[in-house]
Amino acid sequence: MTSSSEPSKPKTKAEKIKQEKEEAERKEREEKAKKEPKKEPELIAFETVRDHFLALDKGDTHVLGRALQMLHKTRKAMTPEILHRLLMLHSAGPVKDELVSLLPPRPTPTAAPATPSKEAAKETPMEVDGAAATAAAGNATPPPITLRISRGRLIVPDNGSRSRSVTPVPEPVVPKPEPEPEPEQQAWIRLSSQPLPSRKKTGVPPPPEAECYVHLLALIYLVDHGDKALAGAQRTAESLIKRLDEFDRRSLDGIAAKAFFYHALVYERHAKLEQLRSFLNARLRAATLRRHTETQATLIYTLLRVYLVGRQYPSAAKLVSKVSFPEGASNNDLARFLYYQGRIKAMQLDYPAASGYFLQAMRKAPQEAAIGFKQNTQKWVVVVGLLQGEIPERGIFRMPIYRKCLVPYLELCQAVRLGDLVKFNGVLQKYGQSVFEKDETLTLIVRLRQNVIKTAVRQISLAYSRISISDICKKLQLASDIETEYMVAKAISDGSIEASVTCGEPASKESGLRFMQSSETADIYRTAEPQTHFDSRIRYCLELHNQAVKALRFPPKTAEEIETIEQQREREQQELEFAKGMADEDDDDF
Amino acid sequence: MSALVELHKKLVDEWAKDAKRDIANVEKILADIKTATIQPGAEQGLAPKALCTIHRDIYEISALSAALREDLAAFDDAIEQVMAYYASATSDSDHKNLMIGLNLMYLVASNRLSEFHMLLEQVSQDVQRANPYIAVPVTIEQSLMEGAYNKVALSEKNIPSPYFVPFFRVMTDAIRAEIAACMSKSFKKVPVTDAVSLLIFKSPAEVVAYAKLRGWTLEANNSIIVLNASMQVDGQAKSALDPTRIAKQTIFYAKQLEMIV
Repeated sequence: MTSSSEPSKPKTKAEKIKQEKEEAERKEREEKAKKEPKKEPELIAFETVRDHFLALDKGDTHVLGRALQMLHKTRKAMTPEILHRLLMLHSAGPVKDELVSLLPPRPTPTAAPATPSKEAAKETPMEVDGAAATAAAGNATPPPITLRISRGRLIVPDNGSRSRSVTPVPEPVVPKPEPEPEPEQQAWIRLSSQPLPSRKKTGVPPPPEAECYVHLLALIYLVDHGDKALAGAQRTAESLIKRLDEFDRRSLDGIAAKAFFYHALVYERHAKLEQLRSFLNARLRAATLRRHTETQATLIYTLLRVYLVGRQYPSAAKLVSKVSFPEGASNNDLARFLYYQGRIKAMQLDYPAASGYFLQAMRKAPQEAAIGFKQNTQKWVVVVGLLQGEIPERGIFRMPIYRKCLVPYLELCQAVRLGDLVKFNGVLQKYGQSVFEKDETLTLIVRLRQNVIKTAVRQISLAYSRISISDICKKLQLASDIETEYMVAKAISDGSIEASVTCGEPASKESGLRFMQSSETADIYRTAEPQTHFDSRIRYCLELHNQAVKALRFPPKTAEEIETIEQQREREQQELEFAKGMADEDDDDF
Repeated sequence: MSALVELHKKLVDEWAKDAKRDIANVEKILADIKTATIQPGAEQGLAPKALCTIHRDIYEISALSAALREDLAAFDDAIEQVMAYYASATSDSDHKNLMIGLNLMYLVASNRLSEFHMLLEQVSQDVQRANPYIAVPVTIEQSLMEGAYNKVALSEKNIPSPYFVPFFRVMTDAIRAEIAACMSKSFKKVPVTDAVSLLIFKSPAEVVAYAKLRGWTLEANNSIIVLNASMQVDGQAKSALDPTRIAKQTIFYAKQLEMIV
């Protein structure tokens, strides 16, 4: 396909997925608008998947990893039509029947039966399709278009900030090649009718990868397509996991990981995630013992999500402390794991660690996609940064993907930066229920109050060399002098201001009053502080370099390189001859 | 009717006497119950629901009685069991919020703030605001973090339940220590009369005794406490070069660069 960029990350939150989907879809549309589609996208998708199957059936299991990496593209192209065709090629037995019954009927026009009967499908699928094509060549193409739009409607606006791209944009692109659908239909027929070589020739059952892959595609389709399909999705997920258990192959690790992920996602949509806890724990144990790293990684963060959704922070913290995240996990999995770790650390008041995790999660997140994930993480970065007394850069709030969703946080930052308690309370009132509680940042933001006070005290200490406590009290609109005094004392002992509290001379009229006296700030460049900072930055850069080296990948093979069985035979034959020749030469030498 | 049920009945009866109950007796019954539950077959023939109630009462009463005895270690154990029970129980207990409130109070008093927040996170926002058992520890924690120590002392006056009292006692000591730590960093000197109010004492004599305890010196016929005479003298400490550290760092960089090249 076009690029080998990071796969998009289906977020565990429903809204995130939607949001992200919108983004990606929009982009995709733009892309398509630029270069007019040479082929119907459906067809391309079908071809790609079929190529994967060809490779898989030959036992090239590494193709699976690449196929899964492209899953985000594949899933968008899936339609009932494609899925049905794929199922016919690659599924067998009761599983297939179940899937066929769960998927929406293929939108074939009137001439063809709505759901092809099993026999017809098995023996002569091409005839059915051919009939359909000839009977209604004109309107064979619409399915993808109607589907897109209906998907657009699925996207529910959840708050003002996200409603930007919510309205179902009337599909401007993907013009159907109305006048001559013939070549395309022929392509369909050609593709579908080509038998899979391995299937026909060998008596051994084909490797299960392809079958499980189709199963996964069907599952994702069901997950993506609304509430009605969700019950079916659950059954599909369960049967997929059962199938995977039956095969129990290492090469299925990647599919198993995805299966668990979507299984949990379906359960979460049904709001019964709690029920999965022991199941996931048992699976994690098994995956860890067998070193199924991808499954392990997925299970770890899914389990963390289960705990966080159920507000079981102690259990989550224990899990993180006990488990070791597999090193070979993909960046997306790692990003999610880091994000959840950050959430836990933030809850435990360990802000430096939390902000470290969030920043790493941001960096590990894919560059282009996963907008929802980045927005959410950015919110946490801002809040945790504020709690540490850091004011985030203004530029963050101007970035297009953050501008709208971070508005409440921008106002919050302004309040904290100015040390303006009144404004802070106002922001809390305005957004507390509607935004912060939904983002689950409210508890952290409530804790910000002390930072607002500290900032205010710091600003006063910078502006005044000596000020009486009661004046500070008035400035901050606090309840009483004694409260102010405690706060000032605490701020000093926390090290946020350099000052001391002095008492008025007993004899003078200042007797009984107390003052905050600022002390000279020491020159930081005389200490070893810059050195340590420099050191940590160098270390960071070196670490980044090492990770970048590790993350290098080979470019994907082009389609032509996938050889058929015949070609493979031929090549092997050639190699054999060559080896023979070599051996003869060796003999000659002696 | 097994022995367990009888003991449980006895326990609930004794506990229901409220102010007149005999803590020692409660303890005795609890100990009996514990031995009874270990006996094999003790839980046979009981409906799961009844068994649940029995266990809940046992756990809750042991936590409460530990609180009344001011035995914090025992309370820590007991409350863990209560929380574990709540996590696994299907039906909610009437006393759930009280227990959570007590646990929160205990965690604040013993300065285990990260656990405090993790526990608090399990309580929904509405309950946090509305329920007095939970709202009290929450406000206390907030004022503690802000440094408004006087507010803590004030909230002592509207205690939602008598079980909170022992924790307030522990808390007052903790707060005093906190204030003293802050003062020793921020004050050079403070008159004894002011220190009385600052440290939440009742008389100057107590302050003087406390000052001695913390090693503060008194001057001018015991009217001024010198907390931190040496303050701000050592502000300009010379930065010493640390050759081993620098050498280590440089070697590390060299190694990494070599790998890159």
